[in-house]
Amino acid sequence: MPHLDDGLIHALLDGEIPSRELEPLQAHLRGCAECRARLAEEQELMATADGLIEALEVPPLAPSVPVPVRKPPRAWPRQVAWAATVLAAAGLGYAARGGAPEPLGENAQEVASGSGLADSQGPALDSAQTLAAPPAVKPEAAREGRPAETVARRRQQEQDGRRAGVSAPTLQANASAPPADSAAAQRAAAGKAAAPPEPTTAPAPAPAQALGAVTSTRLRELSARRDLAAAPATEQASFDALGRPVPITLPEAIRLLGGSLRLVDGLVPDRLEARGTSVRVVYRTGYGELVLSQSLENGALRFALTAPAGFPADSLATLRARVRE
Amino acid sequence: MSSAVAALFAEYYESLVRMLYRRTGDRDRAEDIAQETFARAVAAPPRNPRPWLFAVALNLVREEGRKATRQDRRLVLYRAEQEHAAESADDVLDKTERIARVRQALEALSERDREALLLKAEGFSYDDIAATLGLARGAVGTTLSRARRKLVAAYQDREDTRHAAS
Repeated sequence: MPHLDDGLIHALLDGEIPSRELEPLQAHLRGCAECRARLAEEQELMATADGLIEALEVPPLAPSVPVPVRKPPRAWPRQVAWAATVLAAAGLGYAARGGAPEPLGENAQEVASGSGLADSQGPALDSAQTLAAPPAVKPEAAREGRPAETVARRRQQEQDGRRAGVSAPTLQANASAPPADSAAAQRAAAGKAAAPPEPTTAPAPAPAQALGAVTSTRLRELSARRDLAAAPATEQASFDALGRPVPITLPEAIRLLGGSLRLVDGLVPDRLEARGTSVRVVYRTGYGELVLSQSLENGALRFALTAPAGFPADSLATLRARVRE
Repeated sequence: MSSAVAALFAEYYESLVRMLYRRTGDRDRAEDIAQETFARAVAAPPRNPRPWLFAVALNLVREEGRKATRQDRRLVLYRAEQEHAAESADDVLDKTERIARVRQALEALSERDREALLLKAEGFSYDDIAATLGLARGAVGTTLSRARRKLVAAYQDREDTRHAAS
């Protein structure tokens, strides 16, 4: 029998070779030192790769007391035992899989201590290419008395943590159905559907919402959402108490606009704000503030660029031409 | 909602969100997509649920993917937000950095390889991976071997770069 190729070796190590096909493989391994060496190499590779992926644990909703969570069921212990049998039969020693690579060693321990679901600090602002959740800060005010922790409320808390004192931020949607037309707008609203009205009473400490702990909550939200799906689509805007725009983060802006955001090519924004359901991208110029405001209307993104008094008209026209997603 | 879907939810929600989180790096987005996926299951309860759920979810990620490529234009804004993270303690930053590097290494894989790897991490059998991704079962082992190799190589490559730079 020819040497084992990579796919076969991995299938073997993953315990995916049916028993009737094992014997010829084992026979080959017994006689082939090269394949035995490859097997050992690939086993180490798998352990390393596993360790890397396991380091990506889902962050809890708020950084505080760790919540004990159920370890997710994994098939691999059975497969590991299976692979061990194969290797033993081939005369190879078997080292337990699952060792994390050196640099991640202690961190994998730390991060994985809650098994699937971390008890560590808040979501990582990781790769610059991905939009991670906004940094979790200790919510200064949390909702009291409601067992359901909706996605909208969580965002609420994160916002409050950053802007204590600003009430009724614009991302709070009423408990109305997401717009039935645009799928993008629907996705934007998905996390906000079924949010109860904004309470204003005294704060209570927010428990850490590890993933396992919120599953039943999410199920309730899902049920509620389905119930509302038949209702006509309205998404009501809300303003802060004085109708002023409210600072928001980049991921929030993108969500508010249903998945995309326009910017002026070549300018660096000073900040992002929301007013009602529209997003304002504010640029500082020598003449004052230039504002690119945009909102979703009937599923289409509309924008307007407004300039301060005295701003040269031809420059404004140029900039308007440079608005891109 | 039917008890069948509720049972599906109880069984797979966590795993789906974890896979989506690893796939996208964004917990909010992961949960949004998971909710959307289950909503579709309510509308049309699937016969082979786990592959169906994960396939639909991965499709939703891909649909949004085109918009995601415009993220590079938003990096400028995003960097400003990241400075906030840089102020945290060294060991937190270290772990955050490492996680970032794993995510970057994952991004170096092809979409198919990355998805296969993440499904395997959720305990999928080769049969289920094949069913979810539309692969031939015989191709799963090869896909995973390539994905694992590339992941580790990409991670170590960045590690070396980092050490060289510091």
